[in-house]
Amino acid sequence: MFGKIDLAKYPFSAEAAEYIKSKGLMLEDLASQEFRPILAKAEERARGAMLEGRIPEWRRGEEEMEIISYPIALMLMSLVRDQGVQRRFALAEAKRAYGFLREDSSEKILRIGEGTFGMRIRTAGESRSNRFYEFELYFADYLKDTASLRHGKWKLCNRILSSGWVSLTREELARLIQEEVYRRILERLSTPIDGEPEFLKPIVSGLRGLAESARGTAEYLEAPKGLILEAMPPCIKSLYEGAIHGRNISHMGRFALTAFLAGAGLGEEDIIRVFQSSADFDGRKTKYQVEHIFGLRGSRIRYKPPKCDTMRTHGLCVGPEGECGGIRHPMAYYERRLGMRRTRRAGGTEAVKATPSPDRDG
Amino acid sequence: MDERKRALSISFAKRKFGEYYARGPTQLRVPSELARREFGFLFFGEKFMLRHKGFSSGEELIAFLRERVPSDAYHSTAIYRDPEAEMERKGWLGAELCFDIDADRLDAPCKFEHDRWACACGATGSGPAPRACPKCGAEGLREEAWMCESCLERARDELMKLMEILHSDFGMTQSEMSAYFSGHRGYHLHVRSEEVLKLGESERREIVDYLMGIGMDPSAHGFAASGGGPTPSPLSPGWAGRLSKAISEILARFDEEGLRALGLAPKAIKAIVEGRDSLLRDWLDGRGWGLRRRAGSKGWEAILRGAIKLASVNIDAVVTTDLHRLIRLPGSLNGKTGLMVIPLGIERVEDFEPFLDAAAFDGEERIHVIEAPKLKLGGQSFGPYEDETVDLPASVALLLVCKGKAYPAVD
Repeated sequence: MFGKIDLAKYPFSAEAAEYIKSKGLMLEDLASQEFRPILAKAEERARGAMLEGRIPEWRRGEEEMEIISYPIALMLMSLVRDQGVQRRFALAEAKRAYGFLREDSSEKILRIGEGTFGMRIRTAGESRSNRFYEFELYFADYLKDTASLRHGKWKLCNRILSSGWVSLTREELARLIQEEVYRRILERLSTPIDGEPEFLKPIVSGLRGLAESARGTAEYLEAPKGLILEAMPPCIKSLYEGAIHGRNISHMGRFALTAFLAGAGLGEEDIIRVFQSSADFDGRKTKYQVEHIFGLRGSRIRYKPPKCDTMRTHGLCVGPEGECGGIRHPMAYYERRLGMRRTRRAGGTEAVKATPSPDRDG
Repeated sequence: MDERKRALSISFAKRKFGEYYARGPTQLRVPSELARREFGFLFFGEKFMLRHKGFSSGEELIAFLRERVPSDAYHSTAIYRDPEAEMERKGWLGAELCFDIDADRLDAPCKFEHDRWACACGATGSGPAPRACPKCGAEGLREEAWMCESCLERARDELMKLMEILHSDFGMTQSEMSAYFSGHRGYHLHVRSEEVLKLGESERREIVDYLMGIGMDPSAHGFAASGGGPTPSPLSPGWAGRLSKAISEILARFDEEGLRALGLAPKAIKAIVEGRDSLLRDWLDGRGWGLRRRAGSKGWEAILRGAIKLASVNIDAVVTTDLHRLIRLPGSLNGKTGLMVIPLGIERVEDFEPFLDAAAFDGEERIHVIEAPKLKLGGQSFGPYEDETVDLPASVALLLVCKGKAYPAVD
């Protein structure tokens, strides 16, 4: 059974779309007094995503509003026409879905995965190495869903793959559905809506203003002083570009980029600004991470960027083998390109420690 | 070789290639969706490749081969809306999943017997080229890769390993796979199915990493350095079973020398050699902690690294991840050897004898060999030769001429 609460939890589902369609709502209806609260709720969704990276919770009994506000929030986001903000919204909605899915029944997870996203899933139910693999996902779908997940545990070669099926725990499958939700929303938002209904203008311009101020005063597309983009190794360059264009970067990727930028002589503030356009930017958390890597927090050890082997393991190495000419460390590439001698810079890299494991440094 | 001899060689090779294309060619396999593929050709004595060529039918393609007699013929693994357009405008619709196994990469011991290198200063040597010339210090030495039955056998074993993983782990069926001898030093495998056609570059990269064991964390498969629980059996699915099987192989047949090459310390080697039988028995029963303890943590890591190397497939990652790759046209001749790029029935991969099955010509030809190592072709041995005129089976003669080791003898 897929009840009203389910529709509210999963307003992106095929079932919810069907439900909304059955209501026969027209765009003009939204202008009426009666729909004010729903418009307000849609705006709340958008603001929550932009400001806090999360969708506010709904009050029990207000399922109807929760369901209908979703497509309206999508419409608002589409009208705002700002890719960074759209990614942030998509991520917040996707994370919200994950939060519900991981607590939900197997039947629901299966239903959403198959029915809404056409994922090819089988129920398996096998325990291996103390883990319970409840599901299997077809490998082509798995590869598509994990394309932007950079943690080593998602690498196909670290999974059980048999006859084309990848074993997954229920939590993992829910996490991959999060990716599907994220992509589906961005896909929807990529086709712009023609025209802007008069009654939505105030809300949309308010959201645009919010987007501007959230991004900070200056667009951060120019390279910070002292950073020579041309000398960056391909792996770091790709992370850097990802960061300034607001793409999500894995934990390890952030670590590598931050440590690299620190090694290249950038200050904390400059580095924090590089991450500002990222879809899941959280000012406080980023500041904490950056300070940690700088050695101002925690173990007081200043971290060095990971070496090429480690980058490769975490799927962060982008170049074909040999492109960097036998260099073993991204920093060495940069320094060689700059023609610098390998001297220790002021600011002290004497307390240098090996790369921490990705689970420990955050 | 002077200009005249080179010109003689080119016209000889071109004549033989022309004969081949004129008489059939029976081995030619026109790729599916031919009209949506890009073709590329190299010609005798010319440097540049003719690319972005399209054909509307197999007859048209054969007519082109007969008329122009290319030294090498390629088609795209991709299908395009408009294959003759420039790359950005072709309209990519999908690509087969292709694998290239090259004996060159396998470090077969015979490489040291038949490969040679030469420097502009005149120095030469055998085996793979050093980074710099030992005599004058110049870099970028010319390498002469040769091939023999034994390195091609290694490549074939690799191909079989590849097909086994694609089948048992990825569920790909025999009817979706076609294997080809490249006509030189390796094998190609094409996988064609709806499923793989649309895979993007990063997805193909993940498949490559899976096959090559790149970025693998053995603890994800139950081979952690510590902790209880049974160790995976060789019959487990996926990499768990593959690693377990590889470790049992190491236990069963690696001698001291082999264990040392894995990077094991003398103490660990001694423990393994002395306790081999019981360690193997325990391992097969899922009691791997004995081995883990005796090897020590460094040694255990070394064993796992060795097991990954043993069980993974050595393929050329670039070929598989490139969505716009050109690959040799099955049934065409390879300009480096004059041998046929020949399809292998999947069921007879084991029986395939490259030099016998890929020889395209009957009869004999008289050539003058400048220098050539000993060479085994289809059960027969030829050479070594040095500055002598010989009558050889036409395929052998063509091979030596294509390799620049001989030129046609003029009476």
